[in-house]
Amino acid sequence: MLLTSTVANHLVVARCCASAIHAGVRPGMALPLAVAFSPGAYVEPFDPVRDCRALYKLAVRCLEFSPLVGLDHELFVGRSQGTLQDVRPLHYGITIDLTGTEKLHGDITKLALHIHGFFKGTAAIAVAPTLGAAWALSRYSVAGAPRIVINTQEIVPALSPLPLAALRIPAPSLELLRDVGMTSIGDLTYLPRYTLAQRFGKFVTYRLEQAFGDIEERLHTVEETKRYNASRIFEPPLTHRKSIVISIHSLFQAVINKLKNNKRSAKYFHLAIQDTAKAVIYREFALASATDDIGHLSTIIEPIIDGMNFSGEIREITITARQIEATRSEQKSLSPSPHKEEPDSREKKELLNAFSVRIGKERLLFAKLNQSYIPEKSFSYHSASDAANTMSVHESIPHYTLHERPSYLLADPEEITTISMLPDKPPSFIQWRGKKLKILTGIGPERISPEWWGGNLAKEAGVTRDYFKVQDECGRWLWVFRDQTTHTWFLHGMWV
Amino acid sequence: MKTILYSNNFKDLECQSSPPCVTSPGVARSLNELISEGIVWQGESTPVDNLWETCSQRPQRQRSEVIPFNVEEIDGALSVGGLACGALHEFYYKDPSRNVATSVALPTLLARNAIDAYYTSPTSAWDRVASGAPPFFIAWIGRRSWPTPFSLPQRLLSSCLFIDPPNEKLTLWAIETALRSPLIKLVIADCPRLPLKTTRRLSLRAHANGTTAILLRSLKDLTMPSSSATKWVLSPRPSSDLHPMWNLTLERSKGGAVPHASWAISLENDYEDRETLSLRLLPRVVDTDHQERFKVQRFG
Repeated sequence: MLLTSTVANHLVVARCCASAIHAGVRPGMALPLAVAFSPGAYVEPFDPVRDCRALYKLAVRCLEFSPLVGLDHELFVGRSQGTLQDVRPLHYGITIDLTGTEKLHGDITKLALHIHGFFKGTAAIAVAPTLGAAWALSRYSVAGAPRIVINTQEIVPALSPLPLAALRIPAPSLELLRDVGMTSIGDLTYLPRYTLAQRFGKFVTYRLEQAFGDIEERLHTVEETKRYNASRIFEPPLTHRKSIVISIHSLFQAVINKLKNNKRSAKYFHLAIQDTAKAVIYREFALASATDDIGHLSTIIEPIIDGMNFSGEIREITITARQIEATRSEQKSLSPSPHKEEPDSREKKELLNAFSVRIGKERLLFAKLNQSYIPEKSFSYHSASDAANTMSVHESIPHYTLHERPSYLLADPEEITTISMLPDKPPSFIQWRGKKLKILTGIGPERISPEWWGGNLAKEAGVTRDYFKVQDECGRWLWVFRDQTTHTWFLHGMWV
Repeated sequence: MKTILYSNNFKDLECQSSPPCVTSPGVARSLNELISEGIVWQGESTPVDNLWETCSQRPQRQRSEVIPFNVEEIDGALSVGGLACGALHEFYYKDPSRNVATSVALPTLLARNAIDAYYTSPTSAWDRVASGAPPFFIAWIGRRSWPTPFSLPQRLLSSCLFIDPPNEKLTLWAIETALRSPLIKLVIADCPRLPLKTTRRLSLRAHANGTTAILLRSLKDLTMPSSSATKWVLSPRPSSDLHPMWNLTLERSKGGAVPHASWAISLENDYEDRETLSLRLLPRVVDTDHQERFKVQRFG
């Protein structure tokens, strides 16, 4: 098994399994070479996020040994900052807090062996009184049976032979230490700490004290994810439509009850209906915002369920809620002020949900003004589900009067054929959508060009336009412009 | 005060429409008693449409329950002093070259007036907020009904919800859903062809919720029967100064207004406060052949 990543346009082995290492493959090797070493290896792109998730799930399973199970600090930082690529494989580890749990298993050695068996002997396991010591021992001691240190006094002799890298010291400090001939932790133990910190960075003494238990260390714990689902198997299978609909509703009620009991609400519901022929119908309900209200949910799901076609005998119905969020409890203000707007009131969420399920989130929009003189760039539409955009205040953004800008803009300027005098006279005839229009009066030109702060690139991409507000013979006012580079005329909007 | 609209076939009425108000539940009183107290109005045995007229003629309709044009002449022509809330209003745009089907400027003005009326009339706004009612939203359904956002004032823009349904069926659904929502007080929709039955359903929905709907319809549908409260036709009017002008005709109005009343209008921005927009009535000039008149004013 080889996991590859791309480095400078080359596929390079990022991780490999034990048998590949045995065959001579090393991480960092070019993929063709690695394949030559281990022909027939299974190759897949390296996805650190997936790796991290899998490790998290494994950690959650380890909760059976102790209520406190954690992951490495580096892994957490990498996950939250999106730099998982740079986290070394050494940091993919699980920390289990065994304090007080050994009694359940009789003896700490037995427990360690039990955990060793749980991982089927593939994990390097060490037990120590401090996190740092356990980390060092598990990563750098000889593989095989679990390494166990019980007393605090035993830490120093146990760690002394280990290399300095076992202290989780950053690479620059490690280089410096190596330059002065320090290779093992034992070399550091008897040196005065303050000179160490001065010469090699405070991390050295910090990690050393953590390993020896002088400084406490934080454990990043994992939590079991709670599943919110409800399913029912029908024996005999359901055939009647009404009973199917009723059971779907009662299952939704069950899921909502589960959510409510845990003060959670869900944004996404998944419905799977399986019939006796094993054919499965899926329906997804993606809401704009999380809900835990059955009344609201049923108004959304009802029209969709009504449109569903149940054929055959229904054996099993499953409903799963995903994208769980904590429910925020709302309290109405005691003295409401008439001008205060509640941006995220319950009714608004319900309205957004009702629309977004049926016609899609991207079709329900709020408008926002932008700082630009170009008409089509001076506003933009944003999906109403992004709450941040909806209530922004636009100060100092130019507001146009109806005399300056048309009331209706075409989605894109439409090209028109015109008769006009060069160089800069307004058109006297235009042909738009197949109709010839005679222009009677007009005002212009108003020159609109890309902003200077956009730089040269914007200036080249955008073009200068000369806008005219013209009236055709039936009295309609149109907003037309001439592209100053190509001298083509466009109709952009109208006063309708 | 709660009111029941009562007719002889009361049962039928209840099934067909949801009466706007009901008496407090649990208080069973005889109808005659209610009538004598003036809580129940006795109507005739009428179909739903007539009942509807009775509703719109209710004398105690408040000023805040209309969307005003803020022009005496036009508001006065309507029996309630503006576009009645909780009803359908249809706007047709008569484009001489038939290139454009909808008009946007006048609905924009009405949306401004509606939101101004909502926020400035202190009692109604306070009451609505105190009763837990959320802010005022305006839904613009269908891309062709969307005005340019940079010409809307900030207060209006922040309460605008733009909905772009992919097809006609969903447009209708979106209108109905918007009418049902307690948040949306005004629906402006680029409307597909509607049969009478559908408009009746929409108007009942609007009435039940107090939501106003401005439907921008195609001129082809002008003669189709519908249960809307008013029908307006807007057409461009050649103007001699440099501002757009329109002819506004009230084609039909339920509740005893002057039909076929016609005005020449233009929309004017205030010079002091650029964000305000008001409707200005122009002196009515009877000119059938206005094109001849304006032929002279060409570009030099």
